[in-house]
Amino acid sequence: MEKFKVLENERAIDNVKLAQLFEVEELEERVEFGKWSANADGTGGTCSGGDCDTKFKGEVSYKMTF
Amino acid sequence: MIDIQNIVVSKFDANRWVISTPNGSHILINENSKKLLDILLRGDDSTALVEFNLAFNKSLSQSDFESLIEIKFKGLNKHKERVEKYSYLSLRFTILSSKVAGLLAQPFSFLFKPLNFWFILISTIIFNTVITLKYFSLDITLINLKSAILYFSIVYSSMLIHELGHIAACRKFKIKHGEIGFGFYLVFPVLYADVTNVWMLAKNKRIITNLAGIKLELLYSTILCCIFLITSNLTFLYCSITIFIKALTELNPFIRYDGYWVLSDITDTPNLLPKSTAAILSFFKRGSINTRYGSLSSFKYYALLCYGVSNLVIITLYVTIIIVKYNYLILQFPLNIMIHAQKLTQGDFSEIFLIATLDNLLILGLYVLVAKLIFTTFIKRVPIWFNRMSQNRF
Repeated sequence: MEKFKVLENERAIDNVKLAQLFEVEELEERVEFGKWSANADGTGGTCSGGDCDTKFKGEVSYKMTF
Repeated sequence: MIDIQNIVVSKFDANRWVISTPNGSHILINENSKKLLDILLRGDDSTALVEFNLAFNKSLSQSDFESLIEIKFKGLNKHKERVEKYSYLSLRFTILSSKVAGLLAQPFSFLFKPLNFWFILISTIIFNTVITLKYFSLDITLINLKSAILYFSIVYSSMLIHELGHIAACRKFKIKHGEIGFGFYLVFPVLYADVTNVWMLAKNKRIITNLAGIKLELLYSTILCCIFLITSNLTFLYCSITIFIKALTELNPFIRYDGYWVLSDITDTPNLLPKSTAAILSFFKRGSINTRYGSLSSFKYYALLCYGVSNLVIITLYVTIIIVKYNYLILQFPLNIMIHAQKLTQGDFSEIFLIATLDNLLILGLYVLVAKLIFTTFIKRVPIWFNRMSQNRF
């Protein structure tokens, strides 16, 4: 009985070693994201009053150079 | 039980293959697994064991052989359904079905020939960089309502154009693609394109597909810039710079933006984020390089650990900044939404573009994340606790 158990264990170890030879890896779902960007301030300032014109701060004349 | 007749096998790299299953999942296998799969595909049940024992110099019994196949190829079980699609996205919904997205993307597919892809990508980056550097010092602070509508229309459409880029690349490389939709990744609002079948492509084509969205955005930005140069309308310049900067930030290798997939493909590390999480867990649990993905080389283990920790730090930092920046707005958010909804029901659409701004969506994302955490930590466990309580009682 003991001998049978040892043999069973050896067989199990052999099978584990064998199983390790076969690498199988499930791949994650590939969902490509696009970043949400439009913002009320920072990158996209809006006039809260709704009736103001496009303005420059700083180098106003710069826009006319091209 | 194992459905191997309807699978598609494609080469991943020199020593690995990808199995695409009928239920839509993808499995990466090594050379030995491919050999085993070939035996299963060639022979019937009786000859497969003999062939296997001969090929691997083993003397497996029929039951051990069946167990091995069952354990290794359980993903090919034809009764196995995908548990949840895009499990890392919350509140997601489809905007364009795969059919409509494919039709809209088809005209752009010629842009993804490997030869001209890199040329156009690099040229548009250089052009947009020069323009941005030239005009970045201009501080445009105010635009009228007409310009605001134009600005938001152009910038919102760039997000859709980005996703169409990914779909167009899939069509160019003749692989099946999914839909375009909206959802939340952690707290971040995102548009997404399902390109899972990209796993079946070679490395260079995968990278082109990853960068396809950015490339189309850069082209869009270039066109807008040309319109500005012709018309002098500053809104177009503003849009162009916004889209260019946005496209560059999408190269961020964290938070699963496009840069994440590029990094994963360049370094030949599929499942980059799950692997880095596994590396962190094994570091704290066992302090060893054995993760649930098997034993890794020392370099790869520490690289994954660094990536995982950086990712965690960046996400925590982002969420903290959002909480600090919007602390007042977070509490007011439900009231603000009600006011916006009231205005819309009264036929006042003047602020419609402001509803879906990044500010509002980030706060909504925060609410979604908290709700998800409460659900997974408490509500989902209520039946389990209830069962335990009932068992203790009787």
